Amino acid sequence: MDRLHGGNPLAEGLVGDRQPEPCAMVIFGASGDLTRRKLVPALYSLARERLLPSGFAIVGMARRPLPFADDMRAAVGQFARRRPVDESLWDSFGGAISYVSGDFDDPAAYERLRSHLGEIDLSRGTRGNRIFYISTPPESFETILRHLGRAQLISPGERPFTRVIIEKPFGRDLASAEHLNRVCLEVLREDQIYRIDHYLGKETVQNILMFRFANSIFEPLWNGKYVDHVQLTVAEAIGIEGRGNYYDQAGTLRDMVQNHMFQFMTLMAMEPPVAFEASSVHDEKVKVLRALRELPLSEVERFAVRGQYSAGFHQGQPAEGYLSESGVSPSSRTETYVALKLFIDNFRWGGVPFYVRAGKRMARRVSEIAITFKQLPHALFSGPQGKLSHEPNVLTLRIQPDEGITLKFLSKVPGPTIEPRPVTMDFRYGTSFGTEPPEAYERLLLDCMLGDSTLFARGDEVMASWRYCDRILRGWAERDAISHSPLPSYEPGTWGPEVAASLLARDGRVWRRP
Amino acid sequence: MSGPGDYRRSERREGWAVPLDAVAAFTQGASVSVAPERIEQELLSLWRRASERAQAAGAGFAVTRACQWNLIVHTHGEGELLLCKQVLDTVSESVPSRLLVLHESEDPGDASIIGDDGVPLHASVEANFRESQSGRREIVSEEITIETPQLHSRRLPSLVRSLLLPDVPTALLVHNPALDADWLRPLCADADRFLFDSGRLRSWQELAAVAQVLDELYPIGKKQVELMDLGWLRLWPWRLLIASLYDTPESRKGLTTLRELQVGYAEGGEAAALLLAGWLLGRLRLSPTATLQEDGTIGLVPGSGSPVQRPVQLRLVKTPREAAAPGIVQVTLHQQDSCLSAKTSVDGSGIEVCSPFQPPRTQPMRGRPDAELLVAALGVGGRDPLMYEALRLGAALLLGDVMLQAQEQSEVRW
Repeated sequence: MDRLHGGNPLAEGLVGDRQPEPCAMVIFGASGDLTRRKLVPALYSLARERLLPSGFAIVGMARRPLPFADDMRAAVGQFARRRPVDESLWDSFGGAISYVSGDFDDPAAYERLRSHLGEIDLSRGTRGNRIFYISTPPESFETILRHLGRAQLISPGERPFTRVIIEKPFGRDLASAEHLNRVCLEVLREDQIYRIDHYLGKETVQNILMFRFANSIFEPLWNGKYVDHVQLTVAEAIGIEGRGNYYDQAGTLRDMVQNHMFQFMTLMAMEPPVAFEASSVHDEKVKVLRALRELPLSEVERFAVRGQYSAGFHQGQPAEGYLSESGVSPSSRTETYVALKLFIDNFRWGGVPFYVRAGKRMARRVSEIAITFKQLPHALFSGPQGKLSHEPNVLTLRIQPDEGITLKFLSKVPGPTIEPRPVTMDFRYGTSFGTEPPEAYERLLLDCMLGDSTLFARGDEVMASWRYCDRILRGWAERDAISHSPLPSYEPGTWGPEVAASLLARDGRVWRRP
Repeated sequence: MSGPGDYRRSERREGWAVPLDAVAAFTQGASVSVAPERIEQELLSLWRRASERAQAAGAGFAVTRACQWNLIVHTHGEGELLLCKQVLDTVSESVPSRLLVLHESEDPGDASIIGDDGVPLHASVEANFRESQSGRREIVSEEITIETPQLHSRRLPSLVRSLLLPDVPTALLVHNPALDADWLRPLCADADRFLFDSGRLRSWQELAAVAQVLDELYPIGKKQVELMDLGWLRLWPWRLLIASLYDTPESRKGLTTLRELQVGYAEGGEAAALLLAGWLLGRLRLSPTATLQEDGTIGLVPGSGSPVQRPVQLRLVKTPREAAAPGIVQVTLHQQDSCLSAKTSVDGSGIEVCSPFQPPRTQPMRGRPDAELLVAALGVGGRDPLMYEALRLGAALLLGDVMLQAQEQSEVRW
């Protein structure tokens, strides 16, 4: 209790202990889209839900001078989850917003920031507690971290606290991720680092753990004895949306699989943690990543296929091919689609293939995990043509959109014949709860203020996931060095290239139409 | 959500006869009279037909039937019914529930409610809406209103029980519970969460009476139930800011020398003041030495585990100032060498926090509408064991040993 309330007897039981301590949040990269679309609207929503501490301030920092508070007022009006803006609330929330301009590599800027934060401690009662949110292009991460350390803006102790949120990408391969991690650990302790992956803030992703570990009927089936295979899909309908310069350096494996998809795969596959708290959950997630079967470099293309979208039509509209997009090299070999077949070599999942796919310009936007159960050992029911083959049961956890869970099972078609037909039992967030779930950033920012890193990635998790993906990247690079044939292409508005279908066809399986 | 095609408010306010068939009336929020014994069947039919109409081109609405709670709300008198229905319209947007409004008319023998068949019950159903993501009106839940003259209210529990949906919890909201109501005790047995509103009470004695009623309704160890007071939720900003006075180690040291607690309240804030005092007693492990004097003073002694090391005087002081709900004006903690306080700002828009250990600051205070409080009470905010502790300790200031003896045992209830 003392640890939770700092020994304050009157603070016991306030809002179920989900009331953060006073703090100031400094956003580096305040002029960016993320700040405007997500971060400040999420903080406003927290204020609206009365979840911000009594002493709170937001400080934006970026290179050019900005009317930051005014810009944020407009941003909240445009992007907040609940609109219109509550003017009386804005009076107090907006009054807590300030701005410091300066170059990220200029020591004087950090001195100004330090002095400004000191004033805020006095005027807003933030008590020296700081959260630094680094929301800049990745090339500035190291500069900012080192300057924060040099300017003594990082408190070494637990009180007052300093926490640093680092946006993705955390490195672009294993070596760069390890380097960035070393820099982090030179100036911060691991428990001060919050590597954000906004997918983990989604209610549906968090619900994977609740679904598995708060219900008694599914966990006994959650293993290779009953599960035939698992399909994880993150399909985006959009293309690269003018981000050619970034995307051509990244690709789908880095942009989607290494972080988001591996995060929810670990939640789906992990063992029950001993407690629902950060280190226990992280420990179990890391075990899954360490159990991933290593791919032989020479066989990478057999287990990891890729593709690029060609020109065509998407949802009825003409769509450019990837190689014609602005900022993309005409000879680019960057993948806009990836499909993997991987194995988790442990007692639970031994022999169960996990098929993972992600892509852009696909038929529609959908993220889901589909667990296909094994066929029955014997078909009991017969029709006029003999024994009826039974479609397998499939349990689908829909991450977005239309968030929910569906179980497919067979039912008898009413009538005199014996005819099985697949039907579904559906749970939909919208119908069961009637409210839209909070934005992922709301949950994650609040958790960081509370010092709860359960829904953030720990350093060893990130490294383990890079270790696996790095091997794929190396395998592809070796292949590219000897073959200059174009990557397999797929038409926009489809579910990916033919090679992806072949990946499953070899095993006698097909991709779901999600 | 209300807007064009939403007949809920207008019909209630002006008593319109809405020129619509039953399904159209239902989809637009107007109430549809139904026979009390056919409520379930009629609802089934209305939902099915509403769903069919929603499929038609240009229907302009969608149908999604959702339910998180059976929420039973008791109202007395026409004024309370209208207010309550407005609150429920808002609540159902974020917590779609089967709403059961039990309305007792002010006239104990109101003959207008007695039907042609001689049954003194009148039932109606209506739909509640929210705005869907596409901006369309989405019908999400149903509201059943059962009216009866007070004399016949013993008929209500059996009817209500037949209308509770399975597999969802049941909450019972009674603004001011009194044991003499025929329907209360039987319905309490069906409730998983019991909600009341101490903000409606006008004296210390009324609050203490509610504590005793709850003891009667839910004898210790008999039934697990979650109790929540909307008035307690109104006190939240006060509790938060008073607690923040002791966030620093320096300020906490001073607690050992606490000598006087003063709670200032405005007209109408009596119950809130007593509840807040009960909270302070519980958190600081202080016990009353006698019962509250008429002038609002009482002596307290520190118990086991208390951070306070000397007797403390509690003073509840009525002030001539006006204050918005919950009616608290000022809370002051006098210590040997310091004085810490939280008080309503001069313009009433916030709470000023004053302490020698922190810079002074004013926290804006936004009044929470009843609908927002009720939504909170139906969520995790409805599970706060400190509320019951504060209520019992507040009552103990008036009633003394009667409440204190059971206080230790009361934890088994949670």
